[in-house]
Amino acid sequence: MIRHLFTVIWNERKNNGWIWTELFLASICLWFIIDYFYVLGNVVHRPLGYDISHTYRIDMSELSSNSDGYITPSEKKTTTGEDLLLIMERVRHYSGIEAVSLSKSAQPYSATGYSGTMNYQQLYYKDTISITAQEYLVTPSFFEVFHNSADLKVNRLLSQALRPGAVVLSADAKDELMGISASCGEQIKIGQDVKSATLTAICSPVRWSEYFKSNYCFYRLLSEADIAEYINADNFLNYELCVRVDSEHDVRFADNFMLDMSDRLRVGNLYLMEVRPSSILRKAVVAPEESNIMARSILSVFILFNIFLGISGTFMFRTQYRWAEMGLRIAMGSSKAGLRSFLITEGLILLTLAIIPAILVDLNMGVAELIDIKWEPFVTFRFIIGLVCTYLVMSFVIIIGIWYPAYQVMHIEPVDALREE
Amino acid sequence: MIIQHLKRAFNIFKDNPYAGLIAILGTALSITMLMSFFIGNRCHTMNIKPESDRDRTLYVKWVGVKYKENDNLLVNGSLSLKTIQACFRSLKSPEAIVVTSPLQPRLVSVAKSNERRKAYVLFTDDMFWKMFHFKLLSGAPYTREEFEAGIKKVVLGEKLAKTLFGSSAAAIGKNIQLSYVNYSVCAVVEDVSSMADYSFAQAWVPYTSANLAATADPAGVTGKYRCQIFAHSSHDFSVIRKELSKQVEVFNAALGDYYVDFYKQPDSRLIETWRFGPGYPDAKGHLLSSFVLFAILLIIPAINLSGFTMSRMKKRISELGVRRCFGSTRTGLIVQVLLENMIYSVIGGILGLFLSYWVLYLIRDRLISTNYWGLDVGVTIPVETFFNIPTFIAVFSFCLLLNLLSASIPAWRVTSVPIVNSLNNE
Repeated sequence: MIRHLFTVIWNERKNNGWIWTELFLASICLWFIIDYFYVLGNVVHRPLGYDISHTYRIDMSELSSNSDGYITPSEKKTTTGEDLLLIMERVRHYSGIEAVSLSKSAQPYSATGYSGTMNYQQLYYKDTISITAQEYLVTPSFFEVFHNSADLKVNRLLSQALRPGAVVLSADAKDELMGISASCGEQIKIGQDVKSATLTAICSPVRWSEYFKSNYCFYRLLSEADIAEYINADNFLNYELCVRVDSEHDVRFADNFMLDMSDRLRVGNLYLMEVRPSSILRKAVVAPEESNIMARSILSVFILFNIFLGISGTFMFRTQYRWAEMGLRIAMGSSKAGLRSFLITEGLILLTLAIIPAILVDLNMGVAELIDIKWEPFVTFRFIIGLVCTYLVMSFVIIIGIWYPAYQVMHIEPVDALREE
Repeated sequence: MIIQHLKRAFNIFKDNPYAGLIAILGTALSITMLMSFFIGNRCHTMNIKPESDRDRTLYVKWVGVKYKENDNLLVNGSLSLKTIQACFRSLKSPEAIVVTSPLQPRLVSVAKSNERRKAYVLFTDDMFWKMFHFKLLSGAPYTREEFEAGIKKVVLGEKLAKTLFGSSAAAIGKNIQLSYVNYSVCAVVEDVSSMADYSFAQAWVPYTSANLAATADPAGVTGKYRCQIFAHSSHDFSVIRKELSKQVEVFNAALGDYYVDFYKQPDSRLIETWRFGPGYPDAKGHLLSSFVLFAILLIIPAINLSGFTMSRMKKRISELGVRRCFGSTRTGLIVQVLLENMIYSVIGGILGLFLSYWVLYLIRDRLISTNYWGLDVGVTIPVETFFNIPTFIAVFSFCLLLNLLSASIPAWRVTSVPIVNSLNNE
């Protein structure tokens, strides 16, 4: 049967050449798309290293010199940092607040390539090994606001580990820098001025967003003394004041907080501008990637439908063209079901013939890194999954494309078909 | 005649509804992609209320300060009022110059109320109200004299006025605080879509009242402002550019060690949308990639659809043979085939247009202007971006093009069969 089909395909090579080219090009396109979505699906479902549900960012702003109640620098007794500490204290006493944190370039979705506010430092271990890692400067409560781990006990331990002169490393950074066997208590050095710090805890790897791989990172303490001393009117906007609210109080929290706290949080020249749920910050950061994904999905639907259109159109034309041949086959004793499976098998063989060279092209594309590799390296398993899915989808499209013309052909009277000759 | 064509097309459809349906869907999908692309690009450049004169406006938003000695860059930034005064306000050829300072958040509060909310405020001059066509609901915007005196008056958007005071009429004359600075409401205007990125805000104040912090470079060239030049018509653009280059020469001569580089600005609206940072936008690259994408979206479906058209035509070879026997010319037959096929294209086109609205809604975050970088401004798409005559003309032309590409080869092949053969249906 198969051998016979090969002969038929070879005899019709002039017509089949066109269809073969189409299948060849289409399967390359489709593999590219499937590979993208496979990797995307993989990366989205990995843990993030934080949990933003029930968290809010509290935006403070500074009065301008013509505002009511502006305190001139000469009259002002406190630093902006001291004002912020007082504000944090007041926020902590608001009902429903579980934890309050202040951080610099550390809030989830805020210290990413989109905002451009990342701090990188070189980390050294035993003076020979070094890696570049993102620095998160946070108050200890940060881990209780943004839950690095799903286990609350771990978060509490992380908070306690964040002492002066301590560093909390992400697990992936620790493995790269110190090896798998190293443990807490060892010394590492941070940055160009080579400050020595003790590794006191290891946290889960942190990702910028659902669409990024984890980034080597480490946490250092932002102490109250540092806040009071270093934060001033020019740099306080770089600091993030965030809270976690317990789930009972997380109904209309932002509105209630604005209403209740606006007056109480006017400290020094600072005032409460806005309370934003973290999901808003998230949306701004993932929007470019998500609209990119949306555009790719729409384009994929377009391409898939066109593959279907092309294959189905060509097969329809071909079956009409081979009307007489089909009539002859029925006259010679082919059953209707047999005829359909003959047409479908023929299509699938054509697909197989087209996909073999396409695999070579795909492989080259993968090796040349023309595909998306920012999320996952190009490995055998990924390649095979992509190919199998491509083959299945293409077969499905071919079967659907052939089904109707085959159905039409099945209903010919052999006499009609033969008379046409 | 047309009714006859319609009848015939309907009969052909009945004969092979599957192929007909697929052809319509294929056309619809192609038109969806083309129109999403078309409208998605056009909404950045078309005239949208209140920016009804985008086609005769030139934009300047960046300036670079460089050393005369070695062309090295000192600093890039927005413009200072000094630069605007020397280079743009003094131009004779344009109709008007509008100066604004980009959107900033402010905390809005009303006396005796604990309720405070963030609103985006735009800082403008008085010409802003003459050149942009806002729909005034009550009151009157600030005048030249008030602007120059730096009087603290604010124009509110309708929604904000309603939440603060209940109605737009009640707001007039009332006091509000913008980040604890007192302003009195002088007018309320209809809300503006965020697609109008040079005029969108929830409240507008004179920039003279705001004491915006100045960024200082030693030459005083960079600041917080951007500038729009309204020409009498787009034909004047070259005249304005010529006059401007003279002004810039004079300005540079007075700058000592530095000179200003406007990076080929002022831009037409199209170039402006591609200019994200300082430097030269890659206009050629943008046009080329748009053209390539466009061609792909048109040609791939056309090739695929021609298979279907061919298979539909095959059945009618004998009919066409009969018509030729009775004296139809070949051109007449080709036109007939194309016309019949055009009916499919038009149905698909209308379907596709509506689908493209849906697609645009899905990808609306892509439509947000780069001028809102870092602000959480939501996208509202005004109805006029969807329903306008150029859009309908575009849909019809795409249908026509797609039809010609997908049906002309089958039509030509079908009508080139010798009469005797076609009567034999061979």
